[in-house]
Amino acid sequence: MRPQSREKRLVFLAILSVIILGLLVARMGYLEFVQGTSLRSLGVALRVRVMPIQAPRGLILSSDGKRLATNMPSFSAEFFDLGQPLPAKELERLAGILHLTPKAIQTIVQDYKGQPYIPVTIKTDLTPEQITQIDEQRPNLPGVFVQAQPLRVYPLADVAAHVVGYVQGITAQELKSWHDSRLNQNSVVGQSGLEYEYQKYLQGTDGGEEVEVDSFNKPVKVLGTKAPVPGDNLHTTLSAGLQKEAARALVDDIQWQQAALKQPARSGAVIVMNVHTGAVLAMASYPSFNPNWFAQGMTTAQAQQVFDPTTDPLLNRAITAMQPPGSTFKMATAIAALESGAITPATLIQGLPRYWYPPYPWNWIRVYTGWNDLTQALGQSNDIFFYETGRLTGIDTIAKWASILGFGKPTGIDLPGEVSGLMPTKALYTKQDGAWFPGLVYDVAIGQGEDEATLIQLVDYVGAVATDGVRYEPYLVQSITTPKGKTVYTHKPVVTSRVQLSAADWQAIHNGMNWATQPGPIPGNGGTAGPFFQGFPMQVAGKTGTAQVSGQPSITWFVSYGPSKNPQIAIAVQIAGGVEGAYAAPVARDLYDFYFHLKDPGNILAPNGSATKSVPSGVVRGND
Amino acid sequence: MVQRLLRIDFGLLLVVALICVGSLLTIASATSSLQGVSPAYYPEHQLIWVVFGLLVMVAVASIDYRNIRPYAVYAYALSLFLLAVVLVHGSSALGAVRWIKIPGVPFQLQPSEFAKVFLVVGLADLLAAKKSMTRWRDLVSPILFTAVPAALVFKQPDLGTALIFVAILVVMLFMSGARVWHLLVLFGGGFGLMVLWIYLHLRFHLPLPLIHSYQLSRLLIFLNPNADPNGSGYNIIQSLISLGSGGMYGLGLHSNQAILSFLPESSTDFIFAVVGLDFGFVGAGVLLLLYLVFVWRGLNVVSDVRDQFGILLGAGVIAMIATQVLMNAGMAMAVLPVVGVPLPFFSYGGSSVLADFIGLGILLSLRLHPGQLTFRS
Repeated sequence: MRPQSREKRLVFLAILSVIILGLLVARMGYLEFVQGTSLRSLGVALRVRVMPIQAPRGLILSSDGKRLATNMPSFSAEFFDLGQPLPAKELERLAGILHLTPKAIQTIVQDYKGQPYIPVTIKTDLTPEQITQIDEQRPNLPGVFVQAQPLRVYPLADVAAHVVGYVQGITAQELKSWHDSRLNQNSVVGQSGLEYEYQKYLQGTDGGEEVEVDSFNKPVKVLGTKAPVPGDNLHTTLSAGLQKEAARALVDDIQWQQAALKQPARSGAVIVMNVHTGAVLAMASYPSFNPNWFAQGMTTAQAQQVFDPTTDPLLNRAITAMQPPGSTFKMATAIAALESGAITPATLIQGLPRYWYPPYPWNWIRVYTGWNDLTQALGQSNDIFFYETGRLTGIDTIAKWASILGFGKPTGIDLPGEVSGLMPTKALYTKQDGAWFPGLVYDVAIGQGEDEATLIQLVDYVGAVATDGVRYEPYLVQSITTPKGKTVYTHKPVVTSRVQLSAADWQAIHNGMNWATQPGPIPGNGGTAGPFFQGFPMQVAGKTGTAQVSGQPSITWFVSYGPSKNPQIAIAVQIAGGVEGAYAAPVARDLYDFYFHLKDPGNILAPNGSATKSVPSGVVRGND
Repeated sequence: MVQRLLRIDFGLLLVVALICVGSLLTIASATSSLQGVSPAYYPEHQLIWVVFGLLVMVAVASIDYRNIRPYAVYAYALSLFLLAVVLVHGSSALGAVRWIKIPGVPFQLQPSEFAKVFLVVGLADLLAAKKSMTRWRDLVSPILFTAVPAALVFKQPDLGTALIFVAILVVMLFMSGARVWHLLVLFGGGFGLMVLWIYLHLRFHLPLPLIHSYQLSRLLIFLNPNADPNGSGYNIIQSLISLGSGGMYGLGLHSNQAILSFLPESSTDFIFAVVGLDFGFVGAGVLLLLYLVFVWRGLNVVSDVRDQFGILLGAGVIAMIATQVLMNAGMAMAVLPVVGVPLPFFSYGGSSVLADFIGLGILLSLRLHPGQLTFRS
């Protein structure tokens, strides 16, 4: 080849290299300046993880300044789910630390149908040892990290479980149905009680930490932090001290009936309510459960106990159990009769052992009791008097006034799951049984038959009786404040209905209820709950009730208010399977004793009074 | 002696020195987040190779290139032997068998890297001996001569090195005086046929010779890396993210270990993406410009050489370096298939650094030993 053509070819190669370089630089510029932004953001999307910081729920506080629900810092083991399975070695190491099986961890990760790049919680409430171990093993556990989380804690445990409720990790379905943008897959939400009812207030707004991670999911740097905002605080009407006493007295009474009296008492409830506002000061249901178990995760044994269908501890019997109210309904019959003019306080009805119209039902005490007026009939729960009063008043008039007193519809208490009870009418009987016959009114007049009520209805109604006919809507939350102390909600007492009667009419009813707690013989000057209020230093107005449900142990009730002269609180007690209504009265006596600081020496349920837990003398057994 | 030392091409040396400094900085940045090794491990080892490479370069440069010609055929034979050894019992990495262990030597050897420079020497010897290059049949022996080592590396499989062999062959045939239209028909036509075949395969499932269908799709993924973002397209996407994140001046050394940790082969095959990330458009542009200066200085050296063997040696070395730059940068920027070619004097790895410095030594030798021809004429 000639030198000239060789030179040409070298020049050609030189030019070719310049062209190629130009193309490479152009491509480089295109990537940096045209596609740079989108490539950068693609890279960021692949690298940035948002680690949510769970906001603590609002506190639930008692009226006496105790925390009914609070939060404690806890630590959970989290894993970044990148759609790739954990390596077997890592899985075993992690399983060893967390005391789980590798399979269980795999299931948790697989079942997690969360957003990508949000960590999945493998185990909550880690022990300090587990936290240390995970931190030490961190280089060998890519993707696994420990995160601080607020853990819901209920200091009163089972004492106020039904009112306060409990929380649990949210399900996919709940996430949809709550329609709350503050919720995500890792949220916990209220499942019952106030936790559920006030979920929207209690829920805080989660914060987050935006973290850049490397390809091993190891956080490299924190890009930004948004502090979580805690939920609003509930200031309840519940008094922690009274609540504790109520729960204890209820259990004590039930256990006393079980042990000493060999009764199949198995469940019960008690409510203490301010008669002038409707504020619920205590509400206990037995059997109860420990709501902390839900937040912490429960053992198999605990789960069996909580979900036992035969005892059903999750049921709040104060608002969800509807049962015939029995003789506690007699004030409603009396009010209907007085309002409609069927009777007056002076009306006398002869207390034969047995009623004179078919089907000739018996009085609970099968003896002649002489001529009864309304006051005596209430005090001694005279069935004959109320059969006749019911006949004179008529079922639909009773139903009308009972409805005004709250029977047959929910009271509206701020708790989920309240049932309405049932107040039968002639139409209902006709529809249900095909025919109406006049004898059915005798059952209805004494709270039997199709009558069904809840304990909250009864305490609300007896509160209305105490205030001469002003019925309030029962409530639990007095006010709601933000974490910074701003009040966002204040409850103003709501009058649901009013019953107008003459002072003399009311006096006759009050006197009858005072008579019920008056010791003495029946027939004579004693009341049905008299023996259980022997020596009580304060006058309490009460009414016992025992309802027969075919094939089941009796439902026993005691409703009351006190003090009689200047009523402040109403107390209603229900015990399923108890002896009879009067045997529920010691719970009320104990709570009046506690609430009014009476230091009552005859309180058989006093914390140290178990030695005296015998049946007081003068108790007349029967169907009151 | 002094006169001869003054003939050293300091321009070439300076360019390579700058490239090597950039290489050490970039390797340090790319490897600093790796677990289980001290951050100094990779740059220190690379520095050892560079120093060793410089010594080899000095040795090669001090020899008159004409004196190596009798040994050209042995160098060629040695590289064939080593490539055969790799195929029989080499050690593998990333699915390809490329390395062999030599007893008593603490590092592994990558014969395909040396095969490039030995092929240049062998081809130069073969072509320089030819009286004519203008006939078709003159092309047969150099093509066969290249095809044997190309087939051996292709078998590893190392398509990148095989392609570099072809590029070296084309440039050396071009500089040996072969007719341009012969080369166009042969290699342009061959490339066209290959593209057509691939098209027919993708369109009508024409059976593929030599490679499997999955290998082809892996090669072609650069055209649309998002088709398999977590599989074969992953490297390219991460490379593009690194390049695109650098901007005009780059994020600086050690600036974003998070980005780097996602980039595979960040100190070897994809080191160009790290340059783009750390030094930006300007840094990557300067690096490419340094290689252009290298090529130009090299061509300048060749233009002063009077004998055919020397010219072909120089052209072959330049072709070897330039095609590696093109392929390495091209695959990092997703304009060429990902075939795993090191960036000369830059990627981490002893064998490639040594082979590159041997090539540089040859270029220096071309100027240091001008020979007697000029005096005779």
